[in-house]
Amino acid sequence: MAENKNQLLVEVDDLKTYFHLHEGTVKAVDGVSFNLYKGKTLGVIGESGCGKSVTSQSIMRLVQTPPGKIEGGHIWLYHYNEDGSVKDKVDIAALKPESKELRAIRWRDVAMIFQEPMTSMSPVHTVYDQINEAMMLHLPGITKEETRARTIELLRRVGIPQHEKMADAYSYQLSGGMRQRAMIAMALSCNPGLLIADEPTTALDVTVESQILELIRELQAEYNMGIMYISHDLAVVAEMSDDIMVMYLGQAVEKADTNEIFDNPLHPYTQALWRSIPTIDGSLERLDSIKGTIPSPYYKHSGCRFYGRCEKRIEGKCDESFPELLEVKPGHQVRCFLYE
Amino acid sequence: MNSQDIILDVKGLKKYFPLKSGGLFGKVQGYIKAVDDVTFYVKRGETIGVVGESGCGKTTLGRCISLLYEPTAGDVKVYLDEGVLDVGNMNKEETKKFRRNVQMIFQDPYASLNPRMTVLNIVGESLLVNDVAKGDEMEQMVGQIVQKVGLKVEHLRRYPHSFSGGQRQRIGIARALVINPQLVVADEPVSALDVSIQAQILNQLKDLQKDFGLSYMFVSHNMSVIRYMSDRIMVMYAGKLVEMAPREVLLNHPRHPYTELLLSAVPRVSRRGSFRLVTPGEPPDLLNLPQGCVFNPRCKYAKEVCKEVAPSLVQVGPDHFVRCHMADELTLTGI
Amino acid sequence: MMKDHEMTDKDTANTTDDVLDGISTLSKADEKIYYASQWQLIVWKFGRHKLALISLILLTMMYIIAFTPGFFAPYLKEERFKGYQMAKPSRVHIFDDGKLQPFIYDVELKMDQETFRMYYEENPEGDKYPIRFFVRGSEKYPLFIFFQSDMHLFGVDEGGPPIMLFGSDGLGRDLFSRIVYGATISMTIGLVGVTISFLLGVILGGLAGYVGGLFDAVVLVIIDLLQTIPQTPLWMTLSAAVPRDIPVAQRYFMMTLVLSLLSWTGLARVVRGRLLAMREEDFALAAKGAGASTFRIVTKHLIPGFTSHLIVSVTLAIPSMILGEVALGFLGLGMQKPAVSWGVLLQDAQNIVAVAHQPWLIIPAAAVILVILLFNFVGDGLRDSADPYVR
Repeated sequence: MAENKNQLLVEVDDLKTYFHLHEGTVKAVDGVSFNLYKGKTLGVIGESGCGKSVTSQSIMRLVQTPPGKIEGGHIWLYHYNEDGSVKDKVDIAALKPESKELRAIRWRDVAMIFQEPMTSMSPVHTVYDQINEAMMLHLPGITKEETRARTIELLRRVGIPQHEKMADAYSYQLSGGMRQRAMIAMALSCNPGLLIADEPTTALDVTVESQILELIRELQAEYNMGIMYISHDLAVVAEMSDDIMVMYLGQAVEKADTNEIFDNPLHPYTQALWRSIPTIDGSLERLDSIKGTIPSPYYKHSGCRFYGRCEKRIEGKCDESFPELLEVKPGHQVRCFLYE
Repeated sequence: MNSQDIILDVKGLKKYFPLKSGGLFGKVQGYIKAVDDVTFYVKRGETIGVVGESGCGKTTLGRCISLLYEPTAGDVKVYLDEGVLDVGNMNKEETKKFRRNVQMIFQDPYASLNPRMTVLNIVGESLLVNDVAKGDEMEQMVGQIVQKVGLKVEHLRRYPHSFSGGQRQRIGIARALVINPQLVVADEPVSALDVSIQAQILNQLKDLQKDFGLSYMFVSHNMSVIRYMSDRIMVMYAGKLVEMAPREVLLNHPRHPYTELLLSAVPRVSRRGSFRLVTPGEPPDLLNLPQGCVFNPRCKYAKEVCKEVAPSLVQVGPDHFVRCHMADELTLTGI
Repeated sequence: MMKDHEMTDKDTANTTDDVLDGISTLSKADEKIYYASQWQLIVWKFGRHKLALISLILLTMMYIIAFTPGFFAPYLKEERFKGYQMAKPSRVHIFDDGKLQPFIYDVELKMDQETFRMYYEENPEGDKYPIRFFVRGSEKYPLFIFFQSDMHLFGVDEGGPPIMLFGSDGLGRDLFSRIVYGATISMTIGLVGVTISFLLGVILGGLAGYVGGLFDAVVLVIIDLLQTIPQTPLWMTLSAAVPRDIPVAQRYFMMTLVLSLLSWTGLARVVRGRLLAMREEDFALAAKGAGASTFRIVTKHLIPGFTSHLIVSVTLAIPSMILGEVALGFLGLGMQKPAVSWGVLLQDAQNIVAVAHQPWLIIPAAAVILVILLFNFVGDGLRDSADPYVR
């Protein structure tokens, strides 16, 4: 399996997800492209309204329609033969909502863990019931004994104590950290190639957060999963990711590998963000804050979306035309006129 | 220590919440010891950071200090320019004086502003109820402080729903400062805000501290934010103060195993890709605290004595206090 | 979902002008929302709820009718028409020779030769009697207590046959007029009853939630006890205990008391729960921290916070009171003849044979259903708009 480390799992190409609301259209995701590879983690950083969660929900096709709708682009999901050649590829974006093909992809190919596992787990079913249901649906021919054994093994693996007993617990009987572990066990139950983690530790205490982060990394090494890790916490993303994409108002503004983007940020937003966050071990100099606030999602930009808050803006250019995401160095893409 | 330098002196503060069984004749079945025997002091003009995980009692402590909660026991003294207030026994006049001098900034900028009142009335309330100013005079004072925190006078007649989270938090800060207090308790003032807004508010708080000579008690779960804001840091665990020290001392030379654990758990940009110290165990269950030291089940250094006897807070250096049996024996890692 | 979105975007909408350093991107219409108080926001949000808005307008119209029945009913409530007993609803012809001029024909009493049943039949060979507006009636009726009038909104010229849109009862009284008159009692009994239970609920619930302790416990036990008693039997028992031969006004008052005796409990619970929850809200704590007195916190922060919710509860409580009056009246335990209420009118429809042959006798039930539906639609709309700050 290890030789497949860089196999392309999902190719998101110019994805556009819009929300058509009473007040107007919110372009929550507006032309985002990226690749997810086996065994590698893509970190997605952004503030509220940047579209990071909608992007992941689009891949899972969890965007509520209406008001949300995928208006353009493709989400190619690749399947491989034993010898590593491409067997087929499916455009998730083009599948019918709630179709059989789509349901087969969820859990089986792509699984997701959320910020608050309480809301994504049924309060009236035990942990085992829920994992069993997912497996029965997606792993044809599996028996009840096998699912039971596999559930207990998974719970053991994610570090739940007394896993045989806990398999029959209800989600409200578990602590926050244990619920997140159970959610991870559920996500792994059908051996997905890709795991989407949407702020899975935001609601947790820092000591528990570190346990969950370690667990996700161990499991990735073990199962060779691809991970899309979404968070607003720079440090968490820095620790977890191989590559990082910074998003602002529905667009990717910068993409590079983790070392490059932290050591050599190019986009003024990325640079400002790095300087505006207090760290545990960095400089204690006065923080450089980004002025202003995140614009309304209804605001119609005539140029770069960061223009109003940008320290390096070029008047007459940045506010009049739209910058493209360009590769300025090998593996380093940035959406800014400063680097044209 | 000279009491002139101190603005707040707290000894043995306790806040227990009774646990009642339901019904007409509900009996008290026990207590949640949200804050248990906490002793500390705040120096004039400094920021003391209070850090800990959920359920450690940091918010309750802040609310006791600002008298939103009545402490169960303990001795709280506030040293003001115009005299000492013994918080346990204050008459009406003294209580007013206390309210004028100790104010609070809340965590949630949405829940803490009454949506049915205008900015003017929200910020001006303390002026009005403490008979400091009303009418035009109040409006003028509110206008000044609102500009000071980065909003505009035109905003005074607006309602909170017209502001973003960051702007709302500025209104909350203006409300706390309009009456010119000396001590401000800030309870997680930035944790509900977007990262790019946090720095604005933190810097704003620092600037205001300089301008008004404020003392802050800054409560947060985020060690990085605490580090940026504080002169001294208090670490709390399960209602108890486990360590208190000047910032650099606490970060570089922690003496309590929990402080070490907390520091190692904080995610770091610089750690990229490398594995961290794995930290076992779960946060404590306040209904079911262990015997002896409250931290002993998670402590990798715990010995027999830790499981039997609860340690007391001892001084181990200048301004450095630790609640650990083995503070003298351990060499712990900081950041 | 949509509604939540709408509020959040308003929340952030203004940030653009800060971002763009004072360049306002908002129209005046958007900006007025920043200065809007709770009530303005509720009104705006309610206005978007079309069904509720239409229902509110219709209800208002019905209450206007209920307060001035004499004008809207073509006849007085006790006016009998000899020869028109159990007459079926008059057929209104809209066009007269292609001209818009509604008119009716007179009816004749006939007998079915096989069943020997009497029935009415229109006589199209007879005279046409045009329906006119603002017709003077035979007798004066009291208008708004102080005035007298004999003007009716519509009717047929004197000398013509009576126009009976909903038919007539066994004594030859126009059912339409009686339903209009019945609205006075049936539609207001809910309002008065709800006012009483509102006062009881707010005072007792408010004190329970605020004082707490033993008082709270006692009020809760009373509420629990009252709520365990089945509503209809209790109403029946109580109204059976009310003397039958007292004046209509007195009986009306007694009935409102009977109806509100139980329904205040629900409101008291709402008030108590809201108070308890809101006392712990951050903004109430913040007011405490500012030094505000308990009285100020309750009156300035808490009560304005749940008034809108109370209005919703009240709106939704009225229908059950209206139904209560109708049910008691139907069983002969509510208002008594000669008083006219929808419940009393429905007594005529107790007999299945009567309903089979004179189906128009159950039209009062349709009036009840309509009013209750309208109240529920309004209540739903209010519920959605009562908290304009949901995020």
